Amino acid sequence: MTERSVIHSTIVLERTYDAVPARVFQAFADPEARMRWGAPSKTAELVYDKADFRVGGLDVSRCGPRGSLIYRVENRYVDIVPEQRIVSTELVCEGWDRLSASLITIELQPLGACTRLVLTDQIAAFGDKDMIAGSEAGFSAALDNLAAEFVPETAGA
Amino acid sequence: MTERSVVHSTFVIERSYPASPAKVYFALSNPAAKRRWFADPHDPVPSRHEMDFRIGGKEVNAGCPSDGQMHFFNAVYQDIVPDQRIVYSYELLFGETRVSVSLATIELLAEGDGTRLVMTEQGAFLDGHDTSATREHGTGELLDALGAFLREEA
Repeated sequence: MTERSVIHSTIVLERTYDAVPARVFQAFADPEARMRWGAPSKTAELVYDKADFRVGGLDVSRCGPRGSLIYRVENRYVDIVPEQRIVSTELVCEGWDRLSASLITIELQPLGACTRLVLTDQIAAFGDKDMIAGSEAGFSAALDNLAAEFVPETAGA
Repeated sequence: MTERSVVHSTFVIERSYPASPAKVYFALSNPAAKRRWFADPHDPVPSRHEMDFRIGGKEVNAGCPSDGQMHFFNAVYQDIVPDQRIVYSYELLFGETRVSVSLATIELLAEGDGTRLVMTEQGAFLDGHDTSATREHGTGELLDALGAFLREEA
């Protein structure tokens, strides 16, 4: 009997940001902003080759260690409710190998003058690479970086 | 204003079929074969079925069941390993309302002369229009219809 070859998991990450939902939503909608906060660390890089933030639109990005962008990510937007919700599917490839497919939901809720964000990544991972731990670490670091987008400019002066 | 909500869930359905993985894969991947079993039991003749079975290809199944509005199943194939695995994402729309978005994994495992099919469906159900339990029931009926088709063909 053949072995099963797919591992499924659900990753849930929650953050609170010091910004109203409209600003947090804009940080996801704008590919320039995403390139700033989306890379998990200073030694990693994220480059968008194509960005089309609308229902049915496709983003194509490459990421990896700076100078070696070995991962190709295709993100298709399926459902967008401004300031409230973004649902997309994400396929991660390395060369011709497909490493994982995900259904990603981002929910934004106002919390006073702040925003509560919940990211749910329902992932199916193929092959040997630990894409589940990798995805959780990557999204977690990116969501931590996102907080810096909302620090008042005077604070760093 | 619609009250927004998302309910996430995962269900797994297994079936054993008296047909080889290659035959089960054919019934899942060939548009003419799939049309013979992949139908709403309440609306057996869809008004539109288009299927481009390749990675990145799309499938549309549109019909008008008893509730009087068009239902759309719009899928994108994410991963295909012949005779072993099919992964696709799909949205379900009732009229213009998006009811759910799902990621479905079908794995085919050789089991003696037959096949064990394991279907894992990870879903996001939007704004309370549908539930995971209803989807699991409907998906089970479709996999039973696939079994009936495979037995007819045997």
